[in-house]
Amino acid sequence: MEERNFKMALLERVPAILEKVPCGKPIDDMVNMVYNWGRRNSVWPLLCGFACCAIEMMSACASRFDIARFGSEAFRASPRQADLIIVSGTVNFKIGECLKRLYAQMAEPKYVIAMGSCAVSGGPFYYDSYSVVKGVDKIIPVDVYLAGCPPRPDALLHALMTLQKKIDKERIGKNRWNKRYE
Amino acid sequence: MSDEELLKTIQEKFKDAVRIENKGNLAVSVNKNEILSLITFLSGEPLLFDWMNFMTAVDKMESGTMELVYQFYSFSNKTKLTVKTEVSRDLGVVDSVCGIYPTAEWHEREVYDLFGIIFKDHPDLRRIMMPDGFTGHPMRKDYKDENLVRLESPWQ
Repeated sequence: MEERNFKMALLERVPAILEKVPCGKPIDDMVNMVYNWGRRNSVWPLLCGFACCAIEMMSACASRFDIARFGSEAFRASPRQADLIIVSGTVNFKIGECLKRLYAQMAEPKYVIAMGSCAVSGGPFYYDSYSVVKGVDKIIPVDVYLAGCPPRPDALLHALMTLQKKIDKERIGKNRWNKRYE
Repeated sequence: MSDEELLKTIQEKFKDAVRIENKGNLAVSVNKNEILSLITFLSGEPLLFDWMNFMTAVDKMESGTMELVYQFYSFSNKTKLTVKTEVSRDLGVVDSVCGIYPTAEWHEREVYDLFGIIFKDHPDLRRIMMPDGFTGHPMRKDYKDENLVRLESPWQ
């Protein structure tokens, strides 16, 4: 992995240049604001529901709790085209391998919402279960944890809003997927 | 036919069949050597139990045995019956009933996967639920694993 020769994208070199220019910081903030505004208002999740929380996810996508007004208009079935994976349901060891593969196939920038007790910590299956992974953050890194069994669809929308606030704080060139440039 | 008639029909041919308590339903317990001949008799002409509902096992550590439970239903006579046998806990071997009820193939694979009971003359006895390469039989009461966290008492 270290031998590959990475070329930084043009937009990601902008902060380093703007630091040296006299009026650079407000321009940097403005560029970040516009860039993040575009990204946070079009987070497209992966069309993949794991268990019972998927029913609440589907109901959040239906007309009463419309997730399309938050920008998640299109759920993409292919991980290559998705930004967000909502882990909605219990994760076993067998499906955990597939989940790891799905997460690895997603292109950066990518986010994860752990929806429901089973994804957060194993939930009701924490005790006396030989096959449930106790928390999906043992497999993939999680951005937002959402408690509930199952959480209401409005709680999922709140988690999406929390994720949007997290995206607002990101800076170009200094994200966790740019760390290889340091 | 009623429970008593059914029990009498079975006990005429199988002298060791014992009626055991099962919440008011009829349950018959036999020795494990006779299980295949009993089930062949049940699926035959007078009784016509043509549907095997399920087959599971119960791990009893105190007596050192595992109990196999079969449940049958007859569509023509509209009766149901439970059959139980005892198998030893360490490497128990039982005859397979796949020749009579093809659905038993997957039920017996599940019992083998989770409990470790081996079925003779089973066409394809391998794991069905646990991942490939898994060792151990999880539903045994003495199964230990680093992933298995036991809850001793919910009221601590």
